[in-house]
Amino acid sequence: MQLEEKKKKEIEFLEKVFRAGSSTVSSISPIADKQKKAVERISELGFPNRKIEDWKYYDFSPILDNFLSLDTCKITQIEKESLKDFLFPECEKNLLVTVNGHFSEKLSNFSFSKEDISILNFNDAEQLKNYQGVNELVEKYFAEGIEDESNFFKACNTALMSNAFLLKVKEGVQLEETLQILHISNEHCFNQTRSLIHLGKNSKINLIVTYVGLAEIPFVNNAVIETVLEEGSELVLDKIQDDTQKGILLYDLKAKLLKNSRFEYSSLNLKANSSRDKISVDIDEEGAHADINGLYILNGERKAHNVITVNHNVENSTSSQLFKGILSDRARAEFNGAINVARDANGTDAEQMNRHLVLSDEAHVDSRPQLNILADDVKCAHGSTIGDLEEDEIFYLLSRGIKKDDALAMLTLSFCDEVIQKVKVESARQHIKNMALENLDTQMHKANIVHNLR
Amino acid sequence: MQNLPQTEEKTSTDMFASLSSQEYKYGFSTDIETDSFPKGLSEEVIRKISAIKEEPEFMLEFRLKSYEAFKNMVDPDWAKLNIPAIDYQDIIYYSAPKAKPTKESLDEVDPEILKTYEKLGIPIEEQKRLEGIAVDAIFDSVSVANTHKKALAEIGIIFCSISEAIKEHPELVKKYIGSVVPHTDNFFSALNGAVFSDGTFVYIPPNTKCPLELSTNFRINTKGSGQFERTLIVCDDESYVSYLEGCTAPAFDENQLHAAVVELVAKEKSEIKYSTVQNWYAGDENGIGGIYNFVTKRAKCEGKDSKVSWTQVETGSAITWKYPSCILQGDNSIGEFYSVALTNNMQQADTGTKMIHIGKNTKSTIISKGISAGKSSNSYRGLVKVTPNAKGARNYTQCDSMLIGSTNAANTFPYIEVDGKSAKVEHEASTSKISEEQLFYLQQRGINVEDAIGLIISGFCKDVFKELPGEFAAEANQLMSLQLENSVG
Repeated sequence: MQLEEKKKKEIEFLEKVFRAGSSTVSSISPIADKQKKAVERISELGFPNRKIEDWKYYDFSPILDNFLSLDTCKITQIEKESLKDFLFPECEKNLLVTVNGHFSEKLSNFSFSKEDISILNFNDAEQLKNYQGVNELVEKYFAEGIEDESNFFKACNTALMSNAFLLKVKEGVQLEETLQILHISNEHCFNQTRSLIHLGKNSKINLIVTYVGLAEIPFVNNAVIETVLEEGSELVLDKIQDDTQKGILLYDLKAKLLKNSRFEYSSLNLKANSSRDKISVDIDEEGAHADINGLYILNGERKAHNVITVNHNVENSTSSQLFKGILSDRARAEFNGAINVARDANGTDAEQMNRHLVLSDEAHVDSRPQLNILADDVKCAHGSTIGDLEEDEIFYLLSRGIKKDDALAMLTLSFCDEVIQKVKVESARQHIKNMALENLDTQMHKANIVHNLR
Repeated sequence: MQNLPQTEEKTSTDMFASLSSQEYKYGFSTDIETDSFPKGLSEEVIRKISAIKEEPEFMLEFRLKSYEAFKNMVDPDWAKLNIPAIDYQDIIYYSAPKAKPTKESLDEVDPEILKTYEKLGIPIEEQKRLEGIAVDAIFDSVSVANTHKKALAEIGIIFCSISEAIKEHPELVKKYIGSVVPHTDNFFSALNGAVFSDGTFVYIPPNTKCPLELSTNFRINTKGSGQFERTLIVCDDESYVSYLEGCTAPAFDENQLHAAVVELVAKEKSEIKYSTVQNWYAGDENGIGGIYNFVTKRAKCEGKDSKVSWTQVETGSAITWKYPSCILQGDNSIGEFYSVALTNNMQQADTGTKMIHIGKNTKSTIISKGISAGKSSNSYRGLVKVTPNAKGARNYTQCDSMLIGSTNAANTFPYIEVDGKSAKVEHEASTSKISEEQLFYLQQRGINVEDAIGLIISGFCKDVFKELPGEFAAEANQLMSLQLENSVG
């Protein structure tokens, strides 16, 4: 009976996607082509299920239960005042805001020279005309490889998106300031946010991407970021997930690294009811380095899934992954990380570390660190640990006269710190720490101790 | 090759007709000449196997239940293996040696095989035994002799073929068979349940330490016959047994299917140590021939403070699909898995373990070393599962891979599923190659390349080899060097 109902919902989901997809076809032909392929891919893949390895531990019911409407995704009036908790002073002058997937000019603010950085909605023929060379970029990199896409929801995003952002950094432009991209959801809807980030040769930019839910209503945020790092470029991308407790986040990040480029990525999962991050990094030319980090602090019934693939497709490249999670109450976390080393990708040095701190009896962790290696001259290692705080460490602090609660809080905080320190912007780091403590407070019931430690 | 014993395939329709015309419930007496069945699997074939072996009703029921389950299953395709389609109707499901093919002396044995034995350092007497010369051995599916049986019987240990146990100790077999690997478990175990021909049964009574290491050598030597061994070891309260399974098979051109099931039951405060050296024919360098080894091995640590330790050295077989597992049900029970898997040429291995923590304070250790050379593919696949009741569970896993050459693959697929804060689970893995520096160092000390590689490999595998009983460890070391001969330039 239940199964039948689930099937019915899945079919309903697909029908809605197809119906909506027919009205979201782009007027720009290369985009429309990819969308057509995406629709084909959706019908080939069908609604995902837990028999597929990548979805083995995922609970689809929140999506199916909360997926009601596709049409209500519209821009609503938001006062800048209500955003103040999510803005960082360092990024005040450089802020891009979207509301339910639509660009909000009123809330956004840029100080960059338009020469250096182009920001536009590339799914708008009018805007495309004003920018040189963008057409080619979109044709080449937008939804690249969609015909073989394995992520059903990325295909949905491709078919259903309306606004699509391109952030293009001109060759040789090195920016020290950080640009914040703020995606806001405040409607009960299935949001499609789509971005393409292109870094020209030897360029550099720091980005903070924040996903924020402003209303305590369920919504599904289906976000896709595609990024291309040309030779010698450097991208720092910190993603902060600050949704409401009812938000369901599906996130797909794909990074393509060309010669000697460097990609630093941190994912901070602070809220959201359920989140799934699919991160794929393709190292396509020599000398590139990818540094992928994540922190998730889960309490209540929250769930976090991280599905990470780092593909070393060529010789002499390096990567490192560090994912840490703290779980309490009945939270669940999945880490599914793979390092793939292609035939002849000799000189690869890749590492992966996944650590979980489990603070309650009912929390659950699934960890799958994987290595797929086809070349022999490589250095690959991974590790995974799951456990409570180390008793010896607690004892050490106690023997130094520190109270037990303080000791626990210190150790828990220092566990997170390794990842938090990777974030470049000071005020963002502070914000993350505050959020982390807030999550820890509820489970540790010792707010004042923790606050003193701040 | 011509020296190898071969049972004639008397698969003529006459023979089949005469066989099937006999009513099964009267059973088949020993005067039946045919030892090989016609190819194919059906309820009739199963009834016949059961009848020939004069099995009690419960065994036939078990076989038929397994067959029913098998019919509703499909081959598993989740492993990272490229398994050619197997026609299960093209297999002979029963064969037993008739008159033992005796050879007068070692001169009649294929010199290639003798050379291999020599390299393995197997003594002449042992070689004779392996070649079936005037020494009792276990040939094909039917166990023939157990030298120490009597001595063991005196202290109450039962060590015999499972067919014998079914007849002589039906109450024990009935109680334990299928209790660890149920007939519905998986495709290959269901197939085994339906058609298993023979295997080993061991029962250690309470408070008994088995005075010697029990060992059986399995050989596959009837062309085209599948091997379906069934092993059941029960170790009662506060007892100990160490069991060795060694496998050598001569070269055949035709692929052979092997689907064995091993069940271990460890009662309170008992310990079972199960060691395997598997060196079946792996096919030639083009992947022609070789054994398909689809084995279900599982242990249940049923009693408190029980312990099961699996040690395996897997160097043979064209395809290996094998996950010796432990169900840690009793409180404070311990599961261990030590494995070396070596693949060369076109071999494929997908092997690992499952540790299911159910009881409180259960502990498990997994040490897995994978070496892949040639064009082979070697995967570690393991599950560590800590259920909500398993308070204080502890696991440590280490799986290392070594690649030799750049045409092979090494994969690691661990699954770690943990409930609750009291568990402590650690997993680490690394992949590396034999470094030129190491080789250079040894060479400039006057050690030739081949020995140097042997030395490095044996260092890499040391954590596993040290778990093997004495003579096995030496054999395993030799086997590795032999298997890797000429694969490092």
